[in-house]
Amino acid sequence: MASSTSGSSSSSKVVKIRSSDNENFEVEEAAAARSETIKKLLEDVGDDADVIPLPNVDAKTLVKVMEWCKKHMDDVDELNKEEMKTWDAEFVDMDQSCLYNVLLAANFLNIKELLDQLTQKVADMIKGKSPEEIRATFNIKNDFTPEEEAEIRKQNAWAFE
Amino acid sequence: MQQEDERGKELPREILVQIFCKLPAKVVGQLSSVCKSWYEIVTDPTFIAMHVDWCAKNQTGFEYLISYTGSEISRLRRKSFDFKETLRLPQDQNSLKFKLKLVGSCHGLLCLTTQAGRPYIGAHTYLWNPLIGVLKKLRGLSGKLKKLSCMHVRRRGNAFGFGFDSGTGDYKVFQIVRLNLRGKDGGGGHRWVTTKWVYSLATNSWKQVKEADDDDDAFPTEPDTYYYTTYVNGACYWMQTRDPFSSTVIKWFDFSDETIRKTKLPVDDYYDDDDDKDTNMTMGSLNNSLALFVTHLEEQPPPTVNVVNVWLLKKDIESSSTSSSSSSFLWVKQLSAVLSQYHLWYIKTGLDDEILPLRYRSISGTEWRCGLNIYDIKKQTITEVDDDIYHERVPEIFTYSESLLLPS
Repeated sequence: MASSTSGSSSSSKVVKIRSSDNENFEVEEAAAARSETIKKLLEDVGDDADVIPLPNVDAKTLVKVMEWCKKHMDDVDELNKEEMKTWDAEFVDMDQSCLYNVLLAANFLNIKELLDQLTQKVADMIKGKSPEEIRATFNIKNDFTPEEEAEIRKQNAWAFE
Repeated sequence: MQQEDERGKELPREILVQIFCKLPAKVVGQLSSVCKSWYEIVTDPTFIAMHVDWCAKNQTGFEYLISYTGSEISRLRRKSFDFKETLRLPQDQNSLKFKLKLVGSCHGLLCLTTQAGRPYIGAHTYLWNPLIGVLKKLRGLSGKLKKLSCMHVRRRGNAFGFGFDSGTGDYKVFQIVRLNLRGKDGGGGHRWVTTKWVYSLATNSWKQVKEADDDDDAFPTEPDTYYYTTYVNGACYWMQTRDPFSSTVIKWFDFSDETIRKTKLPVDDYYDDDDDKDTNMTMGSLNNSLALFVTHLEEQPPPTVNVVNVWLLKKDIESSSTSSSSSSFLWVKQLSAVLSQYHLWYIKTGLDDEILPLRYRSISGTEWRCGLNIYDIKKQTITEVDDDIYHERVPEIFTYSESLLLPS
């Protein structure tokens, strides 16, 4: 897989992580530590760490998440803020199954800023859509009976004005 | 496509909650009819409280409410100050004869009370969520007042504050009421006293607030004393001048510890018959602190301008924690702004570092109208809001953001 190693040239410390489908990755520690979950694991095992297993994240998703972490490894100065914004906007613009997987991974790995960007993305997808359109977009089954749905619509008529 | 299978994957509740927090209250209301699990989330009081909290912290969906006397309130958008719509205050079905006025706004709930006149300010108080159209009449204060042998409640000069106790998640109404009490000896004597009360939405009851070294009744209060309160960050503030010869103090009621504190003004308050030198003071909020706007005219060099000095009341981190009341707060001068001669008197602040000064404008030889302006602190520029806002009365200004909170 093309991006299985970070290829870091500097002397920065590298950690090994393993995806749910048993693929190993080497990432700079500073990037991996954007994940509070990994950071805590690293602190717990110290230098004895061999490979950190991440049983909830598959390789495809982990590549995506680490791409974000690498980009957000350093603090951004004012000058690069706009550029970063554009990069972030392009990053979250992914197909829905990918978006869900990265969202679940960001939640499990506890990367607050990424989670924030992704939940904002989904919120933007919801905005301006009718309940029917929302169901279609997110493939949600309508489990209300027609009577129940009519009753809820009536209760919340203010929201549809 | 295999993608179809993946799309059916459900997001866990904790993630959905984070997504829904980022949506306007009205959109969240629509989500209730998507499916059962979404319905359960958006009607859960814990979620509703999180949504309110998120909106308050991020100042999303905030706008201004401009209230003149009367039951119509203008909603203005933030930043652009476009007129959005007129909010018509509801009327209680059982007491249609009372007109209500807006006295507080917090987390999408508006506190309404009866206007001056009959029966008296605050005789009937309500909480209203205009988005979902739910009105709750609060338990009245009259039972408590009877126990104090109260003969009359003054019809004017009562003050209100409405706020949130973040410690308990309770919404509270604060009220200052002037009462005429029967004399203790049972004789014909009577006396006026100032009492303070707090109402808790959680218990639907009022309780009297005692102020440490209460000095309110030490001096005769002018019959028309009028309190404006300003709600900032969990406390409501009011300015109190007892008589022309003693100095003004600012007092505030903390909605969490239910304690009244006070502090002196950062400058000498100026009382002078000479109008030209008059210093005017108003309160508002800025950067989540109480702001005091001290305005005075400067005639030299021409043209005559109004200079506004803005002071913020800050918690003094340096001072020892053992000190009580006012000693742990201090005034910090924030900025000085120059406004034209006719921008004055009543200044409230809003969001995003905007100051909202009012401007008086002559519409004929004798008639003056009051209009709203925005002073941008960063750019130091002043912009006039739409002419339609001009009004013969000074408005009250509140910030507001829609929420799903039920006033119960």
